[in-house]
Amino acid sequence: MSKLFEIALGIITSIGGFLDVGAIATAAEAGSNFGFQLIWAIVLGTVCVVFLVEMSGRLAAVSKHTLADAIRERFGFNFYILPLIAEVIVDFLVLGAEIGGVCIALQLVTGVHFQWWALPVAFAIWLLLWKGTFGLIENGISLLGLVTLGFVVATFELRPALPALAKGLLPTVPHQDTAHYLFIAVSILGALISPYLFYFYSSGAVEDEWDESDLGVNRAVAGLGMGFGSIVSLGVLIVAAQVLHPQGIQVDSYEQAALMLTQTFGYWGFILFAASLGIACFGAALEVNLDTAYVTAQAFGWNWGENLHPKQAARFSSVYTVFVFLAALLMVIGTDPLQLTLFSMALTAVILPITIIPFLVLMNDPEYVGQHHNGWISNGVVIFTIALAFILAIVAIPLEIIGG
Amino acid sequence: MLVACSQSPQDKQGDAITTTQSWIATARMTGEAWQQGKLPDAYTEQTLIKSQQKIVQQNRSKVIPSPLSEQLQQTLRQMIADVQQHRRNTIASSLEKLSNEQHQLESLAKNRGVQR
Repeated sequence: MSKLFEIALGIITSIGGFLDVGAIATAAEAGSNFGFQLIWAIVLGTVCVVFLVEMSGRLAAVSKHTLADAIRERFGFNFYILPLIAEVIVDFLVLGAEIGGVCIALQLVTGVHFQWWALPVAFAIWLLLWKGTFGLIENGISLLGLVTLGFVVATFELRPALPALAKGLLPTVPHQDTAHYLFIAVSILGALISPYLFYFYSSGAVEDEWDESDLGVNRAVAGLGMGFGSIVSLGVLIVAAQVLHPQGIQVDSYEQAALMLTQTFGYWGFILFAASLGIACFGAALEVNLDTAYVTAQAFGWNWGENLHPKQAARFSSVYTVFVFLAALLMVIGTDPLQLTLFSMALTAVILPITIIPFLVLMNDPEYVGQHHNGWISNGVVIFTIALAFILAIVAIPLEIIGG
Repeated sequence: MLVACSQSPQDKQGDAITTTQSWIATARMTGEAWQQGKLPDAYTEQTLIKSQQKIVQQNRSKVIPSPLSEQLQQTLRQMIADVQQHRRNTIASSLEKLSNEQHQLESLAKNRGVQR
């Protein structure tokens, strides 16, 4: 495969795979409640995630270590156990929320209550992981995810006022409902700067056998793919702000969000929303489930790899098998998918510091990244993100209580 | 419990009114889109039922005066019946009633100093 094709595919799949249940829920809630005022949170989160994803890929390409492997080796198992436990707990909740997103999409289209879909959806996820390859999951589902570009098309159709959009780039705190505003800002950042993304991306780079010649691909995929991908998230926020906010609809249920695209595309807008939600969440559910198996197997030194036959990586396959059905139970018992999403995004913000701090050490250690160590800009972004992560971790739960 | 403790009674009333307004707007937008053939029956019915339930749930503390609350419930019941019987023409009058009730609630919110 030529490098150019690899870059193009990487960028397209990053755009298609960018949205997940957290991005859709937080952007829809932000736009419907506060208009364009929270655009800055998506932009800020995107800048942080672009740098961190690029570093995860660079670490994997140069050192041939996944992020989890490198943390365990460099800091010891006793340290790694902390981010491992935190990651597994958050992955469990996020996976439940992603399965919930798929179930809601099916409920929207069929009218059959979402609880009934939880186990069939979990089975479909498991089957694809059991039978599929990493390439199929990475490229196939993400390509389908391009359907989410419908939000970008709707944004252009709705013609938002550019000065108002530009105003949204500057953080401002509203006079009313401040706690709720800050809670959504934290949730947006939690949804975008997802630790699972870094572990998954570096594991994928090792699965794809990246080496130093792939650093250009890595830079392009992280920068352009994630950058353009965030435009889809912005699209969700802008459409919600243009369509739902003026009507006085504040999204606290996916049924309300489903009305977003009907103004622009009529009946097909409704179908497009359901398809976007379903495909985006299904793709993300595969990634989160796989991520849990990756971090667990890498922690204990088990055989791992989506490209291996399940027999060759039995414990790795067992982890994602058990995990997906347990997470599906959250939906079977009737947990509200949107509330679970917002809670898990806030919890993601809480665990951010222990995931991001190791980047600062690993990306400056010549034993891992050789001459491809961080420059002052990358280090500056990591330090800023660590500071931001600490603030988010401290305020996330109080804001969940007051403004969630 | 923590959420309940962190809010003053006035905040709680304001939240209840805002959430009710949001669900009325949802029911109205859903009804209008259904009338124009932009939404499937099953989704419309489920969303109207959910709007009804949410409004009842928000009004447990009797924030909205009883006559208005009863009118709202009746209008939503009528809209649900229209959807169940595929009466796209007759839902227009229910939508008009809902719009009036929405204005009444807006006035109530203004009087109580609730801002959105």
